[in-house]
Amino acid sequence: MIFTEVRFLLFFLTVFCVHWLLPSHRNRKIFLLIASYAFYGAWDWRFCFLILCSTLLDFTVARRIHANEDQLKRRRWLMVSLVANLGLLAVFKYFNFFMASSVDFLQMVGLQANWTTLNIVLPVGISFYTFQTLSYTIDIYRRQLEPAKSLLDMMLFVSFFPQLVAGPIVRARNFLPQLVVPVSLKSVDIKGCLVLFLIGYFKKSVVGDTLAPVVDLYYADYLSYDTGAAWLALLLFTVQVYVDFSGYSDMALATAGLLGYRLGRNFHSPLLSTNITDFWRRWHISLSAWLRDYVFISLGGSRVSVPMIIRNLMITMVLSGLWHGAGWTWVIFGVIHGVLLSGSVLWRRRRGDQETTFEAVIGVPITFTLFLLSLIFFRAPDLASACEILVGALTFHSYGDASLSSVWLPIVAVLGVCHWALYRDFKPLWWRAIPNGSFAIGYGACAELSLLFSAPLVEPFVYFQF
Amino acid sequence: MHPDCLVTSDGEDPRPGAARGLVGWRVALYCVLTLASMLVVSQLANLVFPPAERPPLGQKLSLVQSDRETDTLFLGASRVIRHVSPEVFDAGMAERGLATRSFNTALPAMFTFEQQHYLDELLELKLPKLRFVFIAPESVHLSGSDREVKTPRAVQWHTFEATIATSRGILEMDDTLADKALTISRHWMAFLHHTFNLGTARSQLLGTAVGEDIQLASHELASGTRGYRSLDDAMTTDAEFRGRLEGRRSDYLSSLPAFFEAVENLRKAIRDGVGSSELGVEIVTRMQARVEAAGVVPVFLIMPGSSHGSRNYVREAKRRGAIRHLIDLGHPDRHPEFYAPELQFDLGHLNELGARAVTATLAQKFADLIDRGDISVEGN
Repeated sequence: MIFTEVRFLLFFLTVFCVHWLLPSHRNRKIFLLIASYAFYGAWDWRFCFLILCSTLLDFTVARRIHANEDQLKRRRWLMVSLVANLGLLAVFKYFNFFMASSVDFLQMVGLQANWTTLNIVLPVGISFYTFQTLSYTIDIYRRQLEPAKSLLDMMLFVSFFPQLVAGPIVRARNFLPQLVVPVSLKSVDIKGCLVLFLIGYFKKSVVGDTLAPVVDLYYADYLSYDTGAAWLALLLFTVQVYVDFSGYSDMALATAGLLGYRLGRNFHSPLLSTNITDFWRRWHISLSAWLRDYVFISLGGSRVSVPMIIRNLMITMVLSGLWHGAGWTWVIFGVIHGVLLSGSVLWRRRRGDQETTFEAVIGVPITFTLFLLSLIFFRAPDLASACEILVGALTFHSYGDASLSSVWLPIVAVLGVCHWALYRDFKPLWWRAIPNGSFAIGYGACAELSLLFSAPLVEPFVYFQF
Repeated sequence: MHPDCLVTSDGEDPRPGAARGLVGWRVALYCVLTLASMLVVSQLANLVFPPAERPPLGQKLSLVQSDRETDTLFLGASRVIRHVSPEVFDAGMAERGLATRSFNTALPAMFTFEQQHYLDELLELKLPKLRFVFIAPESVHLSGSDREVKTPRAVQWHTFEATIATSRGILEMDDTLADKALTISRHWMAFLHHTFNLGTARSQLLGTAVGEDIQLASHELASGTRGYRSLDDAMTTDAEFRGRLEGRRSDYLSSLPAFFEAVENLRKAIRDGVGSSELGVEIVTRMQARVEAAGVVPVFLIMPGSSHGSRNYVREAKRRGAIRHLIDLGHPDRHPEFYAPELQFDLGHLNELGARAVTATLAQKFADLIDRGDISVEGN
């Protein structure tokens, strides 16, 4: 069930009505839990057992850690959680990658290896909820968080359907307190949530799904296209991946909001970032913050020598790449961003922390272009193809003579202006000034216009694969 | 927009005082206003953006329209587009001294509900010389597959009436209640897509319909073939299609007993009256009325095919006198020759040789009807 499907809208409408009609906070939570498991089970009911196991494990382990004063025992329990959670992730997401890579390596050094890969189905959202449960246990280990008051709260924290399959990665310290304090419907800015949902729908269904076939066309046969088409396809994919994922996040935030829960912001106009450090503060914020808090800082963060900072950045970004997918293209994607971040750190150390206006202005297109090029490794089917596309783009070499329609350039320019306008937020909370009746009419018109431009066949979100 | 603004944790109402009484009927009123606004914009959009482009249908309609001399049309699914050669048909009729110029308007996977919609579009072309329309109905029992509910083609025919009829057809099926409810809900989703013109503007602006898995090859659209294309020809000339067809062909060749079993099942289904749907009878009766109202003679067809249901409802309609003309070439007892293994391409379709044979028989039977005076050579 995908947010842009009509059946999700019907599902959500039902959940919304029943949720707010239920008299007690506890009943609402039980209902939301059932709805969340039904939502997840709509993909494959067997996945529900996996998420249940993960929840029960971390619920139990976290209580043990909290109850123990002995540091050694606390550490042991933490290891149990880490091994179990990362073990599940390793089996479901990385097993085939490691096996295939090992076989390739052994064959490269002249050894015969004939291990087979397994036909493992990747459970939707496993990377997201594994990181959520890990953060819960680690926070309790670090004494930054009290354990969940009840199993119900813990289960809802892990499975809350608006953010379950593609984030944002919610922190227990932000979400669990919301489960304790009841919220009434009057606390919800319904119009704001509806506006945010429609913006997300427009991004994903109108812009993202329109660009997807053009990008697919290029990547399916990139050797037939000239250099102009190559750059255009790279540009379109950059826009596509942004609108796809940020559109999903907007809809997740809006649906959670309508149910009375706040999720953290996941994007903040990242394509206008002035440098790569700024970019990672604004792109997939919940993942960046997670990696910063639990990997980068654990490794020593930036309070160490420059070579150590670079090492920490490289490890963090390679893990970020691997989080996205099991493949060498993802590793390279992480390496590229590790190198770029290290370069950015070195530059700042040399030039001082304060960014000049000139640096900020010139930094936007440079950062955008670097991100655009790195996305080749995000989208290309394999490493060889990615390298070919990258070399072709950088050397302006045309592999073929086919081109893509230039109509996309003005469309992208208009989208760029919209992106900037959303970033500037000229009139915050403008919808609150509109009378409800006028809002309903205007909203219906805008929703219908979005539907007119959306595709009957719903494309899955890019980030569902992670 | 910062998401923290969406929910205030202290329970304070973030909206102006007038909105605090937002309850019951007011919410209903706002919902009605929103839906009304959507419908108004949807209807206005219809003026700017005509119905979504549906590549195979639109292309076929253009081809039909380009030849104003056409006087006979064949309407149906793959058992018509792959089995009825207008060239062979016209030659067969000419042998009997009857001049026709026919065109095969059929398209793969054209279900009966879509046929109704498509038939209206064909009749709206107002071909000046049109005399006969051959209609080969398919099953009225649908499964709710993506092809039936999600492609622009499918969305287009999901009018309110068609969706009601589809739901009735599904209720007639043997599935469990839960399965029926799921299938029906999928068709109503398509109705919502249809009602709110989902994707029409996009298709118009981009010039292509997204998600359509049935495309016609360029030479299939060449006027010379007059809409017909055998599967043998498709396999030899269409690289993209070849893979799929080769699979179907090898499945058939490797399981001949399964084919004989399917023919036997068909024979039994016809005998037992399986698929004698009341809804089906209603639909073919309605189609006949539409064609006759356009001053054209409708002739219903049952084409050979072992794996696509008995279509007994068409026979039932004929038995009751609800339809006037039926040429039944699908009955394995009356036409065992069309179920000979050497004439089959796959489990459900004939090869080129079979197509020529079945078209020749069709021409012969149609000429017999004319000779007997059942049908006027002038049409209606």
